[in-house]
Amino acid sequence: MTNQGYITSDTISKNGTKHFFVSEGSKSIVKVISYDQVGILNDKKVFNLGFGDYDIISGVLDDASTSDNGDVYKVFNTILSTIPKFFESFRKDIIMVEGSDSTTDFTENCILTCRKKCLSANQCKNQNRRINVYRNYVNKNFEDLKLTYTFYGGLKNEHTIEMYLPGKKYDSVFVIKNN
Amino acid sequence: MKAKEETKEEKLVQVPESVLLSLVADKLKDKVLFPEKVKSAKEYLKQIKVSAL
Repeated sequence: MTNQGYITSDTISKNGTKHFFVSEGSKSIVKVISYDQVGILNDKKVFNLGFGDYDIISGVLDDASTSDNGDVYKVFNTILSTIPKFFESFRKDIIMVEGSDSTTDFTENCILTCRKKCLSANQCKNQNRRINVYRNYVNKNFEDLKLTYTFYGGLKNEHTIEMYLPGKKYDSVFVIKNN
Repeated sequence: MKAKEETKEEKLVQVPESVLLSLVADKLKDKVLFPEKVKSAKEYLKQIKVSAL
């Protein structure tokens, strides 16, 4: 999709792929992208895209923090660069993207410490910020991207997936590589 | 006579980035790295009715 990111170190197994790189901003942070199988839809395996920071001292992985390392676009481009790599190994399968801030747990925890004055968990201003970054990218580049990929949008409350409509709010995005 | 106090210094080793990433990759290769995310995605998928795919 793009090549203006960090170089990744990749591992592939039958359960998915993992990609590692170092974000070089005000700090050096090891970042991990992991595609993990989470189910099957219409005979296709579905792999969830996970992304987070790895603390090499403590060994802790964190997919909730915002590192503010000054290289957000480069990091995002690096994540995007792993998508074609994933499909090299899992040609016919599906990538599912859901932000770590899209869950009900997130809003319930967020409201406990957040400084923004949201009235309730239902009105959390921080919810879905991550999936919106992916959605905005797809919306902006939809005409080009659809030549290579087919997108579907997931609506959590309706328990459905539909053909992706640019501009519509989805809780998750599903990606299949075209034949 | 006062015993000489031992001072312990942490020794830092520098490794090239590629070596560091290989070490991390090797350490994490067979692990589910984001178990809660995977769990929530699995639950979500179970509830989905698929008509579009």
